[in-house]
Amino acid sequence: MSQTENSAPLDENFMVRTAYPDVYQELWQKKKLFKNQIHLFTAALAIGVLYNAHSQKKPHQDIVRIGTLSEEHKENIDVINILSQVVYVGPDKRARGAAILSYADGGLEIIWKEYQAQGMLDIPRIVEEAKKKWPDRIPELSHVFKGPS
Amino acid sequence: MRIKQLMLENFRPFCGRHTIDLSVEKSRPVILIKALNDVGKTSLFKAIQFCLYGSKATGEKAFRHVNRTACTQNDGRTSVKLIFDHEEKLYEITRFVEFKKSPPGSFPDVSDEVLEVRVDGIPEKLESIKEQNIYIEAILPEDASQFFLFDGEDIQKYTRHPPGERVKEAIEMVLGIRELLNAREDIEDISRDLGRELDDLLVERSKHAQEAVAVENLGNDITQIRNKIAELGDRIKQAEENVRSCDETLKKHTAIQAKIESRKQAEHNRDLLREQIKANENKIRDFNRHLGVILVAPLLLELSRLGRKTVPHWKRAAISAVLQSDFCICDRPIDQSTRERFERILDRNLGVSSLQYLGDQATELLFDTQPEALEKNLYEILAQRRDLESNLVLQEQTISDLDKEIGGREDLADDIKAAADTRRRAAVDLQQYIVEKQAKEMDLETKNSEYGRRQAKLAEQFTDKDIESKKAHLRSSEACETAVKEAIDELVDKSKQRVAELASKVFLELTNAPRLYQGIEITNEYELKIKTIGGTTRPVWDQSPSAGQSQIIATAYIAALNRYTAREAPVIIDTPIGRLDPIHKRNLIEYYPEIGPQVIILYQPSELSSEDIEPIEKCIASEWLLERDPSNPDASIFRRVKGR
Repeated sequence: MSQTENSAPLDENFMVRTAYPDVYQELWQKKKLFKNQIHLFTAALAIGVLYNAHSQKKPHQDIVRIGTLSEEHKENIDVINILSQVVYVGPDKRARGAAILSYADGGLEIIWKEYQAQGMLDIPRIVEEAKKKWPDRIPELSHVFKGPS
Repeated sequence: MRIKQLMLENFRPFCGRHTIDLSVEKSRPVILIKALNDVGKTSLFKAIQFCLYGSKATGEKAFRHVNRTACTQNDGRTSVKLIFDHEEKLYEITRFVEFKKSPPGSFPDVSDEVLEVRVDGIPEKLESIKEQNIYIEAILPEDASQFFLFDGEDIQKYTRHPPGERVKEAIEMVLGIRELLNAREDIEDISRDLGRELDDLLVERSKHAQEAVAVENLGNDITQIRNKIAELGDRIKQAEENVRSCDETLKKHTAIQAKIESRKQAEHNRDLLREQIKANENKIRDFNRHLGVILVAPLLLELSRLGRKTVPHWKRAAISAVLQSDFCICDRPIDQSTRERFERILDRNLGVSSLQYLGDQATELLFDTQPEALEKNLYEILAQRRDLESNLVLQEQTISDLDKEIGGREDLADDIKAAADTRRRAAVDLQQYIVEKQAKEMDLETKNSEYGRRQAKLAEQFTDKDIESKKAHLRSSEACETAVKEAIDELVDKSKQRVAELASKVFLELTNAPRLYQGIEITNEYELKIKTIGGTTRPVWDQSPSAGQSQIIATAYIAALNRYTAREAPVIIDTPIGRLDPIHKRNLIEYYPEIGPQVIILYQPSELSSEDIEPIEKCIASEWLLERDPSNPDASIFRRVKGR
């Protein structure tokens, strides 16, 4: 596998941040719905990309630096890397990072809204909804799929 | 009783058989038997005693009566047979013993004595000694015989003080007083028996009264037992109620306790479910690490698919290299159409290297994470969670329901144990009451039966009639007894007076000094007293009479008794004269024919001479001489010297 400038992975120094640290506190630390914040971040990013949700808030609270995550979280790092290449095509790593954080907080807003509405996270429903949504969402990401038709 | 014959067989000095005819006539009542001393007079006397009363009356054992000569010769028999008239019947009485031959100088062995009686030739059946004695006593009582068979020298005993009890009884018997006394004793016995019967009746009446009280007490006992049974019945009911109540309590407590136990189990299950749910939450939390990859799985699949459609780098590099030369890798020249097709491949993939890169990443990630499997696992975990939560709700509902039923009670094990203990005690009490009641019922049945029986017996009429009747009988008997006693006293007095008169008369006939005496008196104790002409009365023994005078007094007494008695028996006198002076001797000899209807006199020659006998010559029925057998100096024989 070779990489291009447009498809480079996130820098190890990339700091995962959020504009909603209290939401993280609630869902991760308090409700213990996730074992690690990076898990919630990954899921939020996935939902943000899926629903093309950008947060208008500027992330200010550091969560974790990507380079400090252990091999245990490789799966999440891979997802974040793949999604970062999907949501941003270009060599500007800062812009890519910003896009990712914006999508992640956008997704978090959806999750939080869902959580507040249901009092819980209905994972199966979220997964099922995702399955239904992707076929619509993927074409929207055509800039990524300039492959042969 | 009048003896006709005396037959001796091997009796004392009489060897072999000897018969002596002792029959008399009214005008000739006297038989004289003369013998020297030690020839057999006393043996003859003893033969009559032996025949009538057995050897015990002779004062010697039976073997001493066996003739010494006979027993040295052979086995044999010693017997005495008396043939006599009595109450117009002819009696034959034989008593014998059988002896074994024995050496000289020793006494033979003898059998028991045997008595045979024939009346008018017919044997009497007398099986026991007692029957035999009674039979002979009826003819001539042994005690009375002393006044009929006596030693002339021995009769002085009647003049001695005081007469013995035996003599007294004999006198009473001879006078017929003994029979009256016996009758009185019989009446006394009857009175005593009646008294006893009356006492028994009185005791019976007393017992009847006591029995009535006892039966009443028994009735009270029965009432008490009935009350006790009723009380026990109540206790049984109460105990049964207690047992029932305990059972119900136990049932309730046990049911509640079962619910408490169920609640505990439900709580345990709930806690377990909570732990499982917590574990499930942890699983979900763990699983949520994969949520990102699951959510982007469709995107990854698309990226992977698109990435696979791109021409690989090595292929494009190869195509570029081929296009830069005119030959293919296989050294064939590249024609225009091939060149154009290679150029189109290269053109199509220009600018898509990043997609290929993403595709590779997506493929690798899909391969590593297997999102479909993860999703499946997620659903399983969530399904498990739903089950757990559903079960938790169920358990909590169960706990809630049980709480309502239990009503806030705590563990009832102690209450159940207490109720079980109470029930056990109540059951023990119940069993005890039942057993006690059964025992009382059995007791009641027994006592009821006894009460009925005794009451029925009591109900039988018990009147005082029996007692009054018995009292009347007793009074009659006592009156009779008194009358008899008085009659006896009177009779005794009269008899004594009469005997005294007769004895006085005989005495005055026999004594050699009739002028000195007025007569004889007899005291209540049959003691003889001499009344002198001077009016003094002194006991005979007090006067110290001579032997001859004593013999005369005794003879007079015996003669009076003989004459007075209703019994008729021969008078057999051994050694009649003894030491009498001539006057007494003559008087006595002359009196002998009057002493009884049959008088047998055994004398020795010096006592009576022919001259002495002459006055009674005409009264002699027969006269015998008893002498030694000339052929056997140890034996004696009879010889009639006068008479038929």
